[in-house]
Amino acid sequence: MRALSKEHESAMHRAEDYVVELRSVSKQYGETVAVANVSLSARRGELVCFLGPSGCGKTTTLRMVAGFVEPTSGMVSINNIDMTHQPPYRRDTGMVFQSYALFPHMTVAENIAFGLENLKWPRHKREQRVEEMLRLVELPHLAQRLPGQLSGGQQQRIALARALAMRPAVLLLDEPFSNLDAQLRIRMREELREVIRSVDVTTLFVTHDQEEALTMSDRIVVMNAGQVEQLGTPGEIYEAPATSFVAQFIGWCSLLRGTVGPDGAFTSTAGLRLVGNWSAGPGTAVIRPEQIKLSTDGAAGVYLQARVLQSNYYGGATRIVLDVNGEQLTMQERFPFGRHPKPGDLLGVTINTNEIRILPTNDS
Amino acid sequence: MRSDFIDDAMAASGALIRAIVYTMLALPAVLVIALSFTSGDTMNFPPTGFSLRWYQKAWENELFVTALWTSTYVAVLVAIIALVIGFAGAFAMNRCSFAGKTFLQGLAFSPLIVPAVVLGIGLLQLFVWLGLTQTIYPLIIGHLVLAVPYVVRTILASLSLHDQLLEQAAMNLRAPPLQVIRRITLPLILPGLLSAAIFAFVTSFGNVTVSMFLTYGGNVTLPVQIFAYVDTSYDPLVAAVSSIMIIVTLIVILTIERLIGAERLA
Amino acid sequence: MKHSVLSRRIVNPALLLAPMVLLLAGFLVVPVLGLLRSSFLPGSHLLEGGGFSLQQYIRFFSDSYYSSVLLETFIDGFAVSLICLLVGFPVGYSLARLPPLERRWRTIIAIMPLTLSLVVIVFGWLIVLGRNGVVNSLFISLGIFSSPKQFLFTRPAVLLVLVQQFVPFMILSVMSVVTQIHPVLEQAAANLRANRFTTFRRIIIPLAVPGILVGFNLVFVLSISAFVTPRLVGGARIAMLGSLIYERIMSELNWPSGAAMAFVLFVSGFGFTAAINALIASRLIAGGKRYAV
Repeated sequence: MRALSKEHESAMHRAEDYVVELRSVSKQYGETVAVANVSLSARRGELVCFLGPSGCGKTTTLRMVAGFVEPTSGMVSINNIDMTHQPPYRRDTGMVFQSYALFPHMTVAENIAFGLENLKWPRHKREQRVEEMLRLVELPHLAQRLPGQLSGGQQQRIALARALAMRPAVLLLDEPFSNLDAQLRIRMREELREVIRSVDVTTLFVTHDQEEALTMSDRIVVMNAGQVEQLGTPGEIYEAPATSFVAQFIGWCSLLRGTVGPDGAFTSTAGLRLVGNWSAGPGTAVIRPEQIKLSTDGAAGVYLQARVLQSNYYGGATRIVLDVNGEQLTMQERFPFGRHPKPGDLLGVTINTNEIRILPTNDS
Repeated sequence: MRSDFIDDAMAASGALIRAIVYTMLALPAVLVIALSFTSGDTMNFPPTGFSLRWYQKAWENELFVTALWTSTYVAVLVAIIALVIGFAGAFAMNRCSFAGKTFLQGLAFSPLIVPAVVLGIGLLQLFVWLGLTQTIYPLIIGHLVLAVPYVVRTILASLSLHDQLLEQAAMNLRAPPLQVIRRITLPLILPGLLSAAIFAFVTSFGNVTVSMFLTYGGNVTLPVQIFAYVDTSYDPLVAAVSSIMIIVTLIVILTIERLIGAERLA
Repeated sequence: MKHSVLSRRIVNPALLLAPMVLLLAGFLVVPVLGLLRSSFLPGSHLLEGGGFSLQQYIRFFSDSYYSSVLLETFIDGFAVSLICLLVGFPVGYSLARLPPLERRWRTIIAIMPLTLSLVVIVFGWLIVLGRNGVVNSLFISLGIFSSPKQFLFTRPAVLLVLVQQFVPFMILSVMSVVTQIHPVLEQAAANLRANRFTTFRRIIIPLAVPGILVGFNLVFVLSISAFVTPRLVGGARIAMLGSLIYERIMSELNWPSGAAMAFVLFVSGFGFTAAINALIASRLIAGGKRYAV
């Protein structure tokens, strides 16, 4: 299903299948535009991630879905019901806050039951559900603890259990891993993905961590300065960035400004020439590190002589900044122990021009 | 060498000043309590012998006992009313932005900068006009004006420390606003509310500067009674009464300290 | 978000604020304005009749006795504030820097005079300073004095008792502002070869100015309007404006005159603190410009 093309999808699914819909949602604070014209439709069970640097409007967008921020214009609907001006407590969402926001004066079980009480579930069903949720997050023995007695990872799982207990239509996650250390973060990421898949809930997820976004999401909304830069699958975002911002924000890359001539070859401003078959006009070439290989001839692309400017060892591989015909390019390669190139060394490299994208130059 | 000397001199003078200040602050209360147990008839120091006779005399003195009840009654009423008024005001100031907010905050704290004598005679004059001087209302209202700033300040402090994200989380969990207040906000700021009420109580219980203008024959508060007594004569009877006030105050401070921590008492 | 999500959904803030505003408007603003009105009445007795005259103010400022009491009150208030600053600063500073356990009892002692009734404090000082009080009996038994000395009914005694009453305000304001000055700044200064005095003068004091100002103003306003302490500790001989007003109204029942004096006290005290604030604020702004370069 997820591999289907977009046109095919829209033909198969009618509008009713969207669990969350944002239509040209904007938020302004006085003169400042926090979010401009964001539109998104998420299907049942889909995990959509908002990715961008801090202050890009991703959290504000999420809070507009939850109802903590009222949009200046546009519409938010959940299960095809307009929720734009409904208060948070009438919306079918479950949110995991960045700081978890567990109620410090209630036990873990009371925290999880709180939403169910407000939904007027009878006591025995509440107790059953709390138990079920604690089993889901594998912490049944902590039911009577207070949040202050839990570790960060445990608090995170309880916050998730509390949000999911109500069986919300939409799960909202606001940077859920930012308060965890690096190793725990990766484990929790996998666990969370597993839990979400098992309950099949539509999930909107905010992060500034591209790795998190790439590994977890079905689709990614890349945001910058309140605008959506690109909306697509992780593969599309990485392999076919729509703007130079997306190219730079996701993964490493070198950006070369220049022009594509009538012959389809790209010439950078400093004079680096890449032969290919691109459409003519000014453009920016996006070159990923893996598109540059060490070689002695140009068997699979353009062969060039390069001088090493910087060489940084990263454990598995070495990231090298090269000077090629006056342009700086970054490549990544594994060298045998003790053979790492030093600044000033000369290397022969081949650039695989088939995979290089040229973005038309109209954005910054 | 020179800087070492300066460091030492500063440390030594600081320690000396601190010792003097703490002694000075504690001295009157300690001596009042010590003297209240004297068996002699005078305020001479050191006290002669140990007895509880002055406590017994104080208990038998109708003026002081009546005044103690009046003070307690007024202070309890003031604490309750000030808490309600102050919580409503502090909540609005903490959570809403509106035109004139700074002005209102200034107004809320202004009783602190109006000299007590100005407030006292101003209120007295107003109540003369209203024809209410022979009632207990002047006392209660005067003390309310004095207590509200402390209540507002204490509650504002605990509201601003309180994480509003928790309220948002509760709303996300389908709790309507009044439920959020009842289940989340109030339980979490309870220590702040209690200490605000206690502050209002001691402000009223110990006040003399405004009370002096607002009491009449039937409604004399304990501090005013002590003032009147000391103004004319003094004997260890006052020491016993004062000791009772010191003990009440000390219990109150210790309670607040337990509730919100001493450093936030201010 | 103009309002927080919660309050937006409950009630109009005006409704929440109304009781407080009504209380303070009706029983703080109105009485003060009423007093202002009375101070412009002619005559010297009960609040009778109407009319408008500057008679009370003219009499106050033309009588050298009153102006000398006013001046003396201000000098006393300034002295009390200054002493409170000098002795309160080290205490407030150390309280802010102490670990919580050691801070506990000290804070309780420091706060005690604020919560304890003023009359009890004054009564305690009568025991200390009285003819047969602690100081006299101690010094006589040590052979320093041959006969009891008169401490009560002197100006230094009044100042001492006022300092003890009001120094907690200074301690607490200094403490709260020093708590916000990160200790790492002092370590940085020490690392830059500043001794304690230089650190104190160049780092702590400038950063603590807002707290010092709050404390100073509070102590000043409270001191100049004190009347219980001057009356009980100073007696008839030590006149401060507060006790004069009390006498004028409660004993002589001369309302217009008392009201005028109360207003002189209120306005001049307010003006004095405003002037100090403006002076220090302008210094700070000038200092800020210097830092900005």
